[in-house]
Amino acid sequence: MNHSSTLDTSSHQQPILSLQAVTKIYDEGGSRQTVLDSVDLQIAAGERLVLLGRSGSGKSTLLNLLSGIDLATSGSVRFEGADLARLSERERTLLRRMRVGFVFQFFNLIPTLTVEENLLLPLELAGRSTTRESKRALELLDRVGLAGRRGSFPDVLSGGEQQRVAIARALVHDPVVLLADEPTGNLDEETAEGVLTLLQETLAATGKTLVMATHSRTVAGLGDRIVRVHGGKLETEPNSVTL
Amino acid sequence: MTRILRRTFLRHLLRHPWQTGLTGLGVALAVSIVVGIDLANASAERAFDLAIEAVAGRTTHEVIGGPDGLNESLYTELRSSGEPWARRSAPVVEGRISIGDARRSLRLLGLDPFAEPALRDLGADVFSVDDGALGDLLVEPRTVALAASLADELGVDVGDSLEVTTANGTAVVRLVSRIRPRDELARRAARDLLVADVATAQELLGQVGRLDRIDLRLVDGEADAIRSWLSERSGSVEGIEIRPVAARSGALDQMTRAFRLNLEALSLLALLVGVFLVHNTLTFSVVRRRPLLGRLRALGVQRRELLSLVLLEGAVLGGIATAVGLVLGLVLAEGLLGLVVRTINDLYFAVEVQNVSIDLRALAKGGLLGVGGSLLAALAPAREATTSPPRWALLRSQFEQRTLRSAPRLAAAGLLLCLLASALLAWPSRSLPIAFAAIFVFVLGFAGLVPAATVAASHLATPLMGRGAGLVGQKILGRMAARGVAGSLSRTGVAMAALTLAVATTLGVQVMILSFRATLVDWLETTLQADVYVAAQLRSGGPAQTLGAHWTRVVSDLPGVESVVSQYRTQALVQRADGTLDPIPARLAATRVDRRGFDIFRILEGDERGLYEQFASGHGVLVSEPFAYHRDLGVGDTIRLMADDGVGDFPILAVYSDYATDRGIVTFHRDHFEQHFRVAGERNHSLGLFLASDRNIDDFVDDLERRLEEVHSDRPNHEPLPRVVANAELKRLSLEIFDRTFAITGVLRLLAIGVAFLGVLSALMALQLERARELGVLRATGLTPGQVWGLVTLQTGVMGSIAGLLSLPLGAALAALLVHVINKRSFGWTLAYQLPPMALVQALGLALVAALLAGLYPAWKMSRSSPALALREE
Ligand SMILES: Nc1ncnc2c1ncn2[C@@H]1O[C@H](COP(=O)(O)OP(=O)(O)OP(=O)(O)O)[C@@H](O)[C@H]1O
Ligand SMILES: [Mg+2]
Repeated sequence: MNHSSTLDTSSHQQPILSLQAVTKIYDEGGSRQTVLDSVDLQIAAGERLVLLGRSGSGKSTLLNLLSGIDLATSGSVRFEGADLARLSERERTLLRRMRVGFVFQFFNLIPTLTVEENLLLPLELAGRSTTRESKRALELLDRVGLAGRRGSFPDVLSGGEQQRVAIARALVHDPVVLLADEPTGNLDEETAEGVLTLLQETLAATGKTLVMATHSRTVAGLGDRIVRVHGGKLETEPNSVTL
Repeated sequence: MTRILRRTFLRHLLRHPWQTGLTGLGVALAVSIVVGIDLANASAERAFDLAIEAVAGRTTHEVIGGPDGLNESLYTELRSSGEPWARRSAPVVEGRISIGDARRSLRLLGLDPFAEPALRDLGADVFSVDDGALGDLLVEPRTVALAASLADELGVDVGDSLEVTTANGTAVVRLVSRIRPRDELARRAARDLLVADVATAQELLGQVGRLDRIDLRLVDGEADAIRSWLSERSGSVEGIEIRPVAARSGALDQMTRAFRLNLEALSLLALLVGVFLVHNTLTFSVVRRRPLLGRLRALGVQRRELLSLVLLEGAVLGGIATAVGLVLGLVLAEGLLGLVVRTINDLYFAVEVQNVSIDLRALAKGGLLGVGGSLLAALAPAREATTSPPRWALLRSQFEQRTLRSAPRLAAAGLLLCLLASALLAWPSRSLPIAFAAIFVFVLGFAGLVPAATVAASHLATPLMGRGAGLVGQKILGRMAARGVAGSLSRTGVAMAALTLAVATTLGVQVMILSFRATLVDWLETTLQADVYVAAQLRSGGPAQTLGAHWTRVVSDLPGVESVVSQYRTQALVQRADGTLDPIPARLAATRVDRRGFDIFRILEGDERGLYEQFASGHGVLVSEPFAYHRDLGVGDTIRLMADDGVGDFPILAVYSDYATDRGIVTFHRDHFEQHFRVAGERNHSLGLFLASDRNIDDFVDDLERRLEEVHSDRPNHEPLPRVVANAELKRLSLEIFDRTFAITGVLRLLAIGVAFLGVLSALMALQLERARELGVLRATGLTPGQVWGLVTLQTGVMGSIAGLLSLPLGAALAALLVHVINKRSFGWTLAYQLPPMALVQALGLALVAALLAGLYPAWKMSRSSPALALREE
């Protein structure tokens, strides 16, 4: 199979996320900057895709487009077949609420909510804050090793602990896609490894789709497929595996 | 280096125009309130001074007599005494008259044109003769002079006739001279002045042979010479005194002082709220730059340099805002002036002021407060930000922690201040400044309690809000809204304190006014028992007009009248225990009242048994509560008055409640009064008629008016037609005056709320900047814009509710202090404290609405902001 020029997955199944001729231009008071220049990308369900690129290459921009936090200047972004640009702000939000989990580099948690409340927030938003679901959430917290800190506020947790809670929170409502923007960018190597292992384990257990942005080669090793973001274009690394 | 530094600071200010603008607006508004009130007060005061000056000129002393003035012969004697000061004296007759349709009330001044120039600038420096000749006043009887502007306004020219009305009847006078004021001051003074020769004035006012006073211009020691000259003639001129003219303006000052004090207290509270606001926004703008300051420190910028930069910023911002505030203050003063003057006209006497005179002292005070307050407000955050280690400067959550930890310490300090205030209040003193200081300290202390109380309230509210929001499946969002209030204390704490203060002040003043009003209604119920009142036509200011004896007879003879209570009012000088004269004359009332009518006195102190008999038989007098309070007198004490038959001691039989005048009043039985004071005939100021129970009041009023008109048309030139007011109407009028008096406080309360509103708005705008990232995460997690709006609004609602709840005890306490301490000490009135639940509900609502309104825009902005952008910011 040839993946060098087109970024199509060969899979016959319908891609969960797809970009078609997507261009993103930031227009800042006259100075226009083309961050993404007519790019295509298909991401299959269950795939673990890593976006690798230098700082300022457009990784976060791409993630924002995929989740509908931001809209493309032109081209179409489809989430499970739905064109995000055609949805209303509210519909995009509801889509995120039900189908997407987010992990950022830092400041993931709401400071005025306890660890447990942070974890339960997505369930509540999804209208699923039942006792059964809450119990599942606590199990998840136990899995990330923080069951003992459920009543603590985020500011007393270490950076690694915060990221672990953030991962649990991103998965608690059972989303189909997990978007992670440099989830270990703020952590020391050892802690980062722990967090990544955790991420890998949880994904392996659930078979969810992951799109993760990073500038670190080591972290990129986690992915099935590595796409380099460079000069407004996307380019699949030849040695990456495709499902 | 410093230029670049300065640029960093300037850019920060410009990059947050909302923040900067709100800070500036807060300072400007606070300054404008203080300056506006001051200017309005100063202008009104200036008007009083002018009114006095126009009459007194350069007069230094005056000789005065009893209520009916001086015998003219005294002046002739004085003039021919050959003493050096004799030539510097002039006779004065003064009274109120009205012109034409009786709508225009003027001051009639009877002067001796030949004696004047030695004494007064009238006709020389201040006035110039525009047309005609002043000398004609003396030569021709029934002639007057007017300011040219007034003559134009009335449409009269030299040679024209004018119809004038006085208590003595209607007469026709001729204008012989137009005088032109030389400057603005004189022009204002002349606006309602009509000048005549002494003889003409005497004739018009019905006091032939009597003068109101003799004006003198004296040099050192001459007053004593005149005093002894007067005492040599003591046989014939008992009760005649010489006193410095300043004492007269002192008395006026005294009268309006209490009123002005109340206003100033309000303006000070507004300023306090304003300083809080400045502190709030400056703290925020400094704290927000912690990372920047930390980085600059790391780059090697000295603490001192940073400190002076922050202070410079405070000074510049404060300076610009203060300048705007001063201009706003001028505008505000224009508006307030009308209210102040109207109140003083209602309460005391007629003045005419139309322009705000620029009082430099008031402007300087406002300027100092604005710039000084800004600097002071900037000092604390500046010091804090520049002395903390650079690393620490980066952590927002730690700063929040520190604020939380400092709340109990602040509360302890607040509690201490409250104790200090109680000690000040317990201090046995009647000093008003001490009372105000105590209130100020108390309010400040209470403000110190607000942050701790906010934290506690937010903790209490968290589970409640969680449960409440849980009903719609949003338990966590509910908790978040409640917790966020304590969690952002460093931003919202001061704004909450300001809102609490403003609402509490409003509540306090409102409850005070309601208590006052209820007391007044109650008192009117007791005092105004007569069914119908008859009085001379109202004149704006000046001595009230009296009714001739024949009116009393006419009224008493009407069928259905069971009894008549009459009242005559005048003034007399009071001799203090040490023999000196009190510069404020006592008001006297002489009343003829039977047993039934005596119930109108609500006795506060003294034995009511046998009181009427003692009073009617002239054993002593009744004094009103303010009179007893101000002069520290009680039942059993005596008052020494300068009566027409000599100095007399009058025992006090009882103290009764009276809210008609805060100067107090001494009431005599008419028979008793006439033993010691001269009254020309049986004249009265008012008559109260008690009707037979089967007499319909409306019918009676119709009959009465018809009868009065009949009598009047028989002798049209004799006396103006009296005024008839039914009981209910009089009560309504009294309350109307009361309400108008306090209209100005309503305006000021609104302004105070406005300042607090700005405080909350700026705090929320600050919060919006700070929480951008948090809200970005929430949006990414799936909160819709509507939910973000709801969250922020809910939180604002919690803030408003907490501030509202806290304002209730403070407001109730403030009202109690105003009622029991301030009003007692400044007016001598005992008011019944009342705390209507409706006022509490309103205060709560006010706080809530102010907070929610202030939150509207920030909430909208927060919900609309792009999450992608928010997440990019660190
Ligand atoms: N809202 C915006 N307005 C203007 N320019 C923007 C905006 N967001 C991003 N950019 C620009 O777009 C480019 C790509 O930004 P993006 O944040 O996507 O990069 P990134 O690959 O995530 O970088 P990093 O690894 O540093 O996070 C950058 O040059 C950035 O300056
Ligand atoms: Mg990025």
